[in-house]
Order: sequence, then C-alpha cells, then structure tokens
Amino acid sequence: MKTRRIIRLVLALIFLVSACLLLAWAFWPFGDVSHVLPIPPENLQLPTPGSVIPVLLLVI
Amino acid sequence: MKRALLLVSGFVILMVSLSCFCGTMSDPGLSGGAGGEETSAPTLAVLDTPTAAIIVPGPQPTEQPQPTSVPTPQPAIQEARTLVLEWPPVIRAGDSDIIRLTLEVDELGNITPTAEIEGHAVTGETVYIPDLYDTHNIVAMARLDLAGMQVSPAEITSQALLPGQRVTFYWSIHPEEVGEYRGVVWFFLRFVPLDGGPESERAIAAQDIQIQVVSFLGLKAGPARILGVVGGFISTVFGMPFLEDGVKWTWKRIRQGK
Repeated sequence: MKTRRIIRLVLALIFLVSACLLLAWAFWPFGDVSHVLPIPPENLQLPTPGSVIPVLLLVI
Repeated sequence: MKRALLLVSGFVILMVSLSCFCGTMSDPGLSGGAGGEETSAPTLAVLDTPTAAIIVPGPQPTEQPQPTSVPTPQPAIQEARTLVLEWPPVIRAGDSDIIRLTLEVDELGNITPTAEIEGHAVTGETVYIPDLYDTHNIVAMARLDLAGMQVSPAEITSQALLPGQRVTFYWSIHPEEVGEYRGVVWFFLRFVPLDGGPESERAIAAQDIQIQVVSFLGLKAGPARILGVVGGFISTVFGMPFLEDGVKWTWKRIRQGK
C-alpha cells in the first residue's frame, strides 16, 4: 500500500514538473529587438542623377 | 654698323610676322573666321601688316572676383525622420509574431538647412528649401523579404506619408520549421508630382533581420501547450490524495496554533 502511494506521488511530481516546463516554454515571452535608424536629410529629397555620380566616383 | 643693325631688325620683324602667321593658321579657334566660337581665353589679334602684332590679354579670372551664386536647393521633406524596426529574435515553431516598421518624426531633430560655400563669405546661412509636400504626394512603401517562412502581406505595401505623421507597417510571420532565418526589410519613398510629371522612387533603407525558430524537444508551440495542460490535469489526478492529506495537515496545524 505504501509502495503504491510512493509511486503515485513520484508520477504526480513528474507530470507536474513536465507540465510546468512545457507551459513555461510555450508562454514565455521572448521579447523584441528594436533598431532605430535615423534617415539622413539628403535621402528625403528627390532623387537626381547628380546625386548619384559623386557616390559612383567615390566607389571607383 | 648701321646696316648690320637694320638687317638684324628686319630679320627679327620677318621672324615675328612669320610666327604670327603660323599661329593664325594653327589656332582652330580663329581658323573659322567670323563663325568661330567665343572663348574666354586670352585673345590674339593679328593685323594685316606684317610688321605689327598686338597681343591683347583677356580678362584674368583671378583678378576679378566672380559673383557668388548659391545653387538652387532641391525640394526636400522638412522633417527629421527615423525608421524604427522591431522584430522578435526568437520565435517558437508553429507560433506567429509581428514585425513592425515605423517611420517616425524625430521631435528633437529640427532641420535647419544651411549653405556653406568654400572660399566665400556665405557660411551657415539659412537657405529656403522648397517643401516636398507642396509639390509632391509622397508614398511610403515597405516590403519584407524572408525566405522559408510564411509572411503576410508578402507583397509590397504602401501608405501615404503626411507631414508630421508617423507611418507604420506590420507583417505577420508564421514559421513552421526550426532553424535560423535571415531577411531584409526594405523601405522606399515614392514621389508623385502634383503636376502630373514622372514619378520617381528612392530606396531609403534595407535592414537585415535574423530570426531563430526554436522547439522544445521537437515539440512546436501548439502541441507543447496542449501537453502542458494535459500534464497538469494528470498530475492533479495522481496527486489528489496527497493534496487532501496536505490540506488536512495544514488545517490541523492552524487549529493547534489557535
């Protein structure tokens, strides 16, 4: 009788720990990453061919 | 002696006239005669008589200061803006999450356009830049490229950009398989002239994102939640007698304490 009680207690604890682990993992909030990128004022202008050529020259 | 001097001077005059004649023939600017183009280089005037050649220097660019000309600035958006990208670095397999891209107005970044011309006195002067909102409809467009994952919306999305207002784009992602996924969030601005002119487009930013999709011992998010609830129920059933004993023992201790 006592052995059956111990087995039952162990099983209950195993199921409880497993259930807690599964639920904790399934609902754990991982959080977000935020990246802030300032836009340079020259990018808020109309694109012109003249604005591209100096960049190309710098690359060459 | 006088004859020798006369001979030498005559020879010199002859050589000068010959060199002037050759110069006239070889100068392409002057070979066209009246049809030649005007040049700003020093002009060379040749007289018909072989004994006279007058060199008239043209205006030297270094002697007279050129009038200062400020280039006409391009129309621009008169706001400082920032792009804020938020994404989940880790997602459970089978779960869904949101990626958000916001084009915010930077409250602290007041734009004061200034002109600086090298070598001249104009420095740090405020320049009037035409507002782009007055001449164009501006459309903000964004797209998320993320291979191997279900992304909604998958195509490019666009919203009107209004002065002083933020624009936010949302994507819903739904990974099914475990792994590491890389993607790019593109942001464009499209300028549509109000006068019906040709539209133009500008790529503003392309930001890399990296998302890791994980599982728990091979279990996805949905099955893990179901198993967690079922396991909790089973553990309660198994532990009910011990729970009853525990409650009785606690109640006895409380009564003894009183």
